[in-house]
Amino acid sequence: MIPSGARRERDLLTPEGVPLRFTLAGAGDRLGAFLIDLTFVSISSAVLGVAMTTVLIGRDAFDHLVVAAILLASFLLRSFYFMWFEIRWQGQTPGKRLLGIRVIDAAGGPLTPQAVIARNLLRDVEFFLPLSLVVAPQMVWPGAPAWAAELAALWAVALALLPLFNADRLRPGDLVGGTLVVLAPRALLLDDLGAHMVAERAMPRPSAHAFTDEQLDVYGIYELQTLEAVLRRGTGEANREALGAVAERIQRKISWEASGKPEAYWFLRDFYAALRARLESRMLLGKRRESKAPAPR
Amino acid sequence: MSALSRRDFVTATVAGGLALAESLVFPGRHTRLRNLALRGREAGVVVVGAVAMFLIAGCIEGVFRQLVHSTPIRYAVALSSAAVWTLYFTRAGRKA
Repeated sequence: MIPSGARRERDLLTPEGVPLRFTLAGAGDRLGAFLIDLTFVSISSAVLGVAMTTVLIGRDAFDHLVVAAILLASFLLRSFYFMWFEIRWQGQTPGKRLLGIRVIDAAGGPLTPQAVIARNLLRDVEFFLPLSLVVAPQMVWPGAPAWAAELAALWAVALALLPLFNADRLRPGDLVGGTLVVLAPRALLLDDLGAHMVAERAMPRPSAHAFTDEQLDVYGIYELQTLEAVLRRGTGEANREALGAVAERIQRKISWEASGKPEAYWFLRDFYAALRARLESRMLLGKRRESKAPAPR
Repeated sequence: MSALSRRDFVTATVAGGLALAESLVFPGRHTRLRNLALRGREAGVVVVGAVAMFLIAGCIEGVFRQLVHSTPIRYAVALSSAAVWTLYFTRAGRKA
């Protein structure tokens, strides 16, 4: 049985032949993003309308002009809001950015303005047109029969449910634009251990330990990363023992002349910083040391 | 002029729709979905162009025709916009 997480993963091959793995955005995320964007559009339309009305209210002759201007402005706003942001923000609208999803090209290429335009034009057919037929049938279709609104509602619901009935969660706009909507979570970077960490400011700092190049050359990248994992677990009671054991082992390995027993955490922190500096400066010359094992010839 | 151009914009939009239908009925070398995506992008650009033209046509219909009643000026505007369109379709764009 396939775990439920893998069902939503898609591998795309870019035109350069690089495989990229994406996770499809869920229906809830997409609905939420759309509702957020819809709220933004409605609020700005309302603000625009109120502003125009207050400016032009005194002149009775311009009443119809005000209505026309508001209609035109809200049309431009709702038509180009999605296109503008998806083109400028690399496939994200404010709603999509808030919920951590974005639009990508389904074939693995760059997301072109043409694709964004096509997928958002269909939004009119999917949502805004049926909505206006439901809310104000006489404006769209003068003399509309009563069943027109029900038919439009049915149409909108059927199209809105379409993403639930295909494997790639495509809405009609995605089909025509050739796009996918995927998760784009914000990357969280950990504190840099080599630099001073926030949590350490309060701790008493003993004098720094110094290491010779020969002592540092004992270890490689693999050991550095293992040491980092141990250090990241912190100085709590649970980790105290592990820190002590690791420090002792390293001291034995590099034949550290103990002038008094150094505090394990700070010894390891200094060793980590020195080892990383050593490995990184060697890398500048193209010399990469994978681990403490001698490099295969 | 504006009545004529309005019909043309509808024609352009319908042509976009026909291109979509053709992409599904005669998919050619690609899969139907991929072909729909390729033609859909072209059709989308056509429709946005039509929207821009509708906007201009709407201004001509809604403002110009209501305010200007002199027949010679109307003819002048019609002929000049016809000239602009002719130049646009014959001169603008990439060389083949």
